[in-house]
Amino acid sequence: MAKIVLETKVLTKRYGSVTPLDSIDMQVKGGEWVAIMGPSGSGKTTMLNLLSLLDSPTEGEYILDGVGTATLTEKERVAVRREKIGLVFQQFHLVSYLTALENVMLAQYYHSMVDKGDAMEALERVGLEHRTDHLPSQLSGGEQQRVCIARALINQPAIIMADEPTGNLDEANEEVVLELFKELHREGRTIIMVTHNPELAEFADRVVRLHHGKVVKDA
Amino acid sequence: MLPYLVNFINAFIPLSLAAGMVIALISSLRGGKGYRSLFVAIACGVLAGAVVYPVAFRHESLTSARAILHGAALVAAVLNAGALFIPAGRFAAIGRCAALIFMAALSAASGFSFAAFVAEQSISSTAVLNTELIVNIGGFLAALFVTASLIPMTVCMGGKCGRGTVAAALLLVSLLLAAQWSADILLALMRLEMVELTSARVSVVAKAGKYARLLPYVEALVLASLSLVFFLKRTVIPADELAAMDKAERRKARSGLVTEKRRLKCAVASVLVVLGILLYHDLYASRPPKISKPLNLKPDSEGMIRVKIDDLSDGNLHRYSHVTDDGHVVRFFLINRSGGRKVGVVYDACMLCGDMGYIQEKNEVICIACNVRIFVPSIGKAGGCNPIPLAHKVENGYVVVAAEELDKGAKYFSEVVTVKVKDPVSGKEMISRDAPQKYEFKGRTYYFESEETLEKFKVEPEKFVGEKESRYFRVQGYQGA
Amino acid sequence: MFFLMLRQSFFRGRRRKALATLTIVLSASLITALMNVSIDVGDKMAREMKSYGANINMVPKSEAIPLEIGGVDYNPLKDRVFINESDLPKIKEIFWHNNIAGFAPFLKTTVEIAGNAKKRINLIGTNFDRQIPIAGDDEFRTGVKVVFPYWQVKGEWPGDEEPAGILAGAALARDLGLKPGDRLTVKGAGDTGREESFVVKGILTTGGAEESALVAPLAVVQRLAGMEGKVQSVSVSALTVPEDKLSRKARQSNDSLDSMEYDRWYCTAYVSSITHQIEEAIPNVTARPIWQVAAGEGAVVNKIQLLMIVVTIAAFIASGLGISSLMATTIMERSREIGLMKALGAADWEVYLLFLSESAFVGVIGGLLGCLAGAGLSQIIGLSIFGSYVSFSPIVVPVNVAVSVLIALSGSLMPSRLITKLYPAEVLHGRR
Repeated sequence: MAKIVLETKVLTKRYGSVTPLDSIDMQVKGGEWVAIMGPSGSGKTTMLNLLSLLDSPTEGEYILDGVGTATLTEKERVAVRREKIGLVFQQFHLVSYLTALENVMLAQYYHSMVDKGDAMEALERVGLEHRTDHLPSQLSGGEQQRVCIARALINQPAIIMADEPTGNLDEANEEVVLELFKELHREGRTIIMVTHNPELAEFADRVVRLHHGKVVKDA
Repeated sequence: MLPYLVNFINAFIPLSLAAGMVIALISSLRGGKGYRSLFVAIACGVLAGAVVYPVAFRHESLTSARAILHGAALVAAVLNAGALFIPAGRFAAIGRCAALIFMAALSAASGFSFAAFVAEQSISSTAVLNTELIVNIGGFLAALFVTASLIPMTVCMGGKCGRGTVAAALLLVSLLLAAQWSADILLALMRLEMVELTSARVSVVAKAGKYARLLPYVEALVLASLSLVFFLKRTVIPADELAAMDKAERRKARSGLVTEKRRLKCAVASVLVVLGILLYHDLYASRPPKISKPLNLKPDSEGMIRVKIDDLSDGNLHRYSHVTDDGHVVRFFLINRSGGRKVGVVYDACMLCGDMGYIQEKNEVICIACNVRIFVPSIGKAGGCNPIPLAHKVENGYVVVAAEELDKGAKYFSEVVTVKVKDPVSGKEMISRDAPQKYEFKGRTYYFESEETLEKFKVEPEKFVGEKESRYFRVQGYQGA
Repeated sequence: MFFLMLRQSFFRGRRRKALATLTIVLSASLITALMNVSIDVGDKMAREMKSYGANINMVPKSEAIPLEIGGVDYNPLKDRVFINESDLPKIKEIFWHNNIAGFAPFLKTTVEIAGNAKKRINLIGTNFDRQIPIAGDDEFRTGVKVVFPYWQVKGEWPGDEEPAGILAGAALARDLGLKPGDRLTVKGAGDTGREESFVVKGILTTGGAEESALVAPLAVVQRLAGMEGKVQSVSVSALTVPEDKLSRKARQSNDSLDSMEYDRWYCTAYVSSITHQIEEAIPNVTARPIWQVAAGEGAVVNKIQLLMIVVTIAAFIASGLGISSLMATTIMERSREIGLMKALGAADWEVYLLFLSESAFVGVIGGLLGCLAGAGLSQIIGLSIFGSYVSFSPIVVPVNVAVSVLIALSGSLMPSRLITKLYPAEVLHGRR
């Protein structure tokens, strides 16, 4: 029985009269790959923001890796984020003036200290050992996303949270990235992935479907 | 620049150390929150001290203002020291309060002493913006930076040393300050004639004043010893433990070690900077100029001292000395005063300023005591701050000075060495320092082996020492042009 | 890593950074120029106050105001009070007589050059290097050579005892085409003026009014003007101690000193106590130290200083606002990067530090360039106000760089608050 790394209880987010996320109860076990799906405006992104501590809920409780997040100060939330969560974005969000290697090292720097060897290893992991000194603008979309994944992994987070990781990629690159995620899953990493690509969701252990801020299906 | 730098550091180093230690103590109690009130107390204290000075100056009550400030600081220090003995956790509010009061009082004393320094010397010689003014302000800002950076250093170092060590260090600093303040209060009370002036009290005050110069050094060393404790208690992670960690975990552990090391380095560096500045100032920059060592000359058989004029052609100041029979060291110097072979022959002493002497800097001859430049061609003439002329003769290329003449000038000089002397009555030889009796006659000191010979001498001195002219006295003074 | 980021990001948005630098250069050059002029004069004043030698000017107590037009005195030697030349040795009898290094008497009259009746020029009589009989000192030589060691003569100095030798000022010599060895006949002012003929021994460069005059031995000029034994003013060179608190107090008013302070002041070789003693020694004269700068440029400098403060404040605000808007745009543009840093776990201050360091760097560069530009500008100011070049004070550079950094930082501080308000969630998940 794997331990529960993430648990939400009646997690709710309201903006005035709008409620993008309404009373979500969810548990994610260690090593699970959860896909969150739903149409636009169903609250997928809001949910991911809450789960990755970029935003705080209006109501409800969110326990990450055994830590209740409701009482944390902003400083502590930042600390939890940099140690327990690895983020992968649809837009990659690499710093444009830093090379692939330096982008990975940036995550190390904010976590603790830089270690070039570790960063190189992480890039090797995603098959980019020959592209380390290239700027993001010199990399293809797939390569950029792989740098982004390497950056997400570098601090060995408890959970990887990905937001439409293949949304901006062509088919060939999508395949490469998907393979990477599969590999991560095989290694036993916990993955939460927001997507509206059913092909991607097929590989997930579990698909959570959101509609109007509510879970309509969890299987 | 340097005086501002050094005096600021001198005035504020105890404050920044004490503040750092108090913060370290408080944060060990309360998890590092809420020392804003502490900084408010410090700011208010410094401001108050700086305001009290001009007000007291205007009312001509500097002494009492100083004494009152120091008295308040003394009481606060004692209170705070007492509060340190309250066990941790209990009555934390009392400890906090005492610390706040202590900080405020200490800052007021510091602010006052620096304000006094600033008022005593002009920050600029003219009202128009000039380099000196800017450099002085720069010195002030640099000192502000150095002393302010000592606070976080002390907090860092103290935070790891444990409550006991920090409390002990704080007690030590308070004790030193308290001793200083008490001496100051005693001095003020004597000045205000509120307590009687006794020699014991004066010597206490004098001793305290003497050691006050060392206080900043001791305080810097307190920080150094905190750093040492920090070093001894540093985190050590064994290599195998480190190797067993996850990559991210290992990096985190290593970064902790690096941060600790960096803090230690910073603290040591700032101690070194402070010590360096203080030492440079005290040992080198602030020392008054010193006279060159005189060449001791012995008179020849005729009682004459001869110096070759050609030796003086370099235009430098040539300083000589002669020891009289009773041990007075008489200094005199010769200088070629006008390109040619005209020589100024003078005692190395000034009628006005005494025997500090004259130095030569490049082409100028300067009276050390009053910093006045002497017009070199006028050396050898009396008046103003010129060196006292010395009677001499010039004979075939030699300046000839009679030892007898030098002896007459012995009273211009205060330096006395131990020499072999003779009892003028019995003729017994002895060491001047050990002579049981001495007696001054016509400005000369005579030494006697017993009261008996002294009494004999007193009856008719001329019989034993002959009809010598008496020595010159400085009070005979200005002999006109 | 931090420095790596700083270095890499510094070369982004070059156009905007260039613009920001330019803003700072403009204000820094203005501040530099004014500050440089002001410090130049301030330093000269401070140096005089602190120097160990001073020149004292001695004039009769109630001198009639000379009628001078274009530097030529049209009311020469009329209704004037004079100093008796025979009183001068008394200067060497004061308490600080040994500190009097020398003195030079002056008598100025207006003459016409023979054959050029329209041209009126000043003839200055003085001692060049003359032995003055002083009690107790038979070898005291003094004159302008001692008092003004920076006077330069091309040719040779005339002797004080030879009546025919004369020095021609450099400007005058240029005008009249004089060179050493030329003969010259001058005629005293008015119809009854006597004539004297001279040989030009040398051309004199002083940097002062003497350059457009003839300088002759005192006795000759006295005879020419019919003023035997009289002098108009005396320049005294004295060795002094620098001004300090006590002398400043004494300068305000002698009465403010108590008797102990008065004694100490009198017995210290301040320039003020020496002038006081000269006035005591010679009746009916006024002796004043010549604070050369204080008198002339000082008044202008006060205005410049005021101007400088106003300009500095204005430049500070203006360029601060400029930087502020540039910074706001930069932050907006780089909001994703900031959001990412925050998402990766950067604390607010770490992001602040990056942006503020960047603008501090811009400030340093702008300040340095501004110093260069300002150095040139200050020469223009110096030439147009004082008619001379202004020496560049090195202290201006650090001050200006500090001010520029301050401008850059305070301009950046307001927009930097945007960083705190920026939520990574808002910028990171935008669907393009």
